[in-house]
Amino acid sequence: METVLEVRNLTKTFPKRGSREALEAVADVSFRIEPGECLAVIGGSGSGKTTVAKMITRLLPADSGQIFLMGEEITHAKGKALRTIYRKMQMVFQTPAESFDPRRTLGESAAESLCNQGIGKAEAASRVQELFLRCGLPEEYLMRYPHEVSGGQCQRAAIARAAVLHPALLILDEATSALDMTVQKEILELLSELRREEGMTYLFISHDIALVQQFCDRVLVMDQGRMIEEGTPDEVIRAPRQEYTKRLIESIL
Amino acid sequence: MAEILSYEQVDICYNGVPAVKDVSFALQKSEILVIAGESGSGKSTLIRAAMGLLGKQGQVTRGDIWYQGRNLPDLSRRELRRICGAKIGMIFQNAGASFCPNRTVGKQLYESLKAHEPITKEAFYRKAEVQMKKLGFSDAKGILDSYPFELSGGMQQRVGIAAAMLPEPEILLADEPTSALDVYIQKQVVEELLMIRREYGTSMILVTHNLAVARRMADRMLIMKDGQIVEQGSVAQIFAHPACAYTRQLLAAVPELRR
Repeated sequence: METVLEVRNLTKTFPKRGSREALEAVADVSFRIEPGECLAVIGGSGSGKTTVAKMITRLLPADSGQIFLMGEEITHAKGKALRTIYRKMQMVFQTPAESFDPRRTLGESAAESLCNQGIGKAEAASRVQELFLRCGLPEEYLMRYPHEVSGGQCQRAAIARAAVLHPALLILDEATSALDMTVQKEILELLSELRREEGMTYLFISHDIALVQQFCDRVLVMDQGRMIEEGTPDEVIRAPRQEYTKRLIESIL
Repeated sequence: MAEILSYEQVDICYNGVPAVKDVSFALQKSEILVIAGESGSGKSTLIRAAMGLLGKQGQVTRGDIWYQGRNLPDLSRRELRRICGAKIGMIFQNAGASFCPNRTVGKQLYESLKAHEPITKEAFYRKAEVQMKKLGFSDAKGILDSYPFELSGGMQQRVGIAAAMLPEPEILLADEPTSALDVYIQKQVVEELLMIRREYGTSMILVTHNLAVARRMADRMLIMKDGQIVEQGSVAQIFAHPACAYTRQLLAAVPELRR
């Protein structure tokens, strides 16, 4: 099967305030994700995890490097091409309420991406309803506005909206970090179920190493924009090779 | 052991809607008491009530919060100000946000300490440096001369804690002090709080949803749900033999690292 995502030598620098030097947010990052895999990216705040995700999802242009989605280069994709890309790749962010339009119901927002792909309104509505049900949201939630539901329910809706397109790759950027522990557990169960049934591939960005150990197949460790270590969660946690990874793991209470 | 702060059958409402119902507990001298629970359980409201920080909508509608023979909700703003900060300190999730951005950290700490006790600038800087050294800051002077934005988020949080400790309060209330930090810095803050207790014998109430932090720090724990205490006991007891079904559910949801 085809590699779902391949990233080659990705680099991003930001200008630093009051300094001539630039901040290397992401430096020479390369990795691949195979079909059905769940790959974690971990690291402290400011290590560049989110910047990598933003470049892959094309929310931020890369300075240099290449991104391939299902074998096709998307590094400089624009306009119509992006629309096709978002059929194959979707993302879920940390604060669900902020990723929904506050003036639209959850159902409308979720159906929009389907309508953008040229699917009729009636079919879009029924597909959204089905996904909402699978994500544990009864029919009445389609009519609710983002502020009328809890954080956990809103995150379920965000996952439903992403999954309704049956994307090959789902990018989850700290998708459970803002949620209560018991809600986090429910969301992870939902993601596992979708993975089993749809064969979805995940890029799972998190700072919670214990969580990653439970949920992911492979881990990349980032520090100061660089990918410093890679392995299975057990390899990285039980026998970290890098000083930074060791420190990170020793800090876990 | 002596009770230093005690809540007796406290009810708290926001706009008439109950947020805390019939809560009673006491904080012992030099004890670290953790209040754990999920969002909306009323844990922050509970400690904010002692400081008179419930806002316009919030009110203690029943019960007493006793500190040194005085009922805190009954005190006037003025009387409360003499206690809060000086005798009972408080730190928040994001201490950095409570600093003024265009003055140095030292100037602001000086100002806040001066509000509680007469002190000269020189004496303040001496005191602050000694105290920050004690709490493990290697470059106390450099930090006092910095503007808040020049410090990292973790350092801002640590400075916020040091600031709350300047008047040497007997009680420190902490509302999710480590939740906005990554694991590495979280550990430093936990160590700093434990060091404060060792050095000053400060009694603490720590509100957190993070059970790993609770386990590392607490002597005793209260578990809250929907405004009520559903379980309380020693840390060992709560983690080893949780009596309440909700506590068990909470513990089961925490991913455990297999080292």
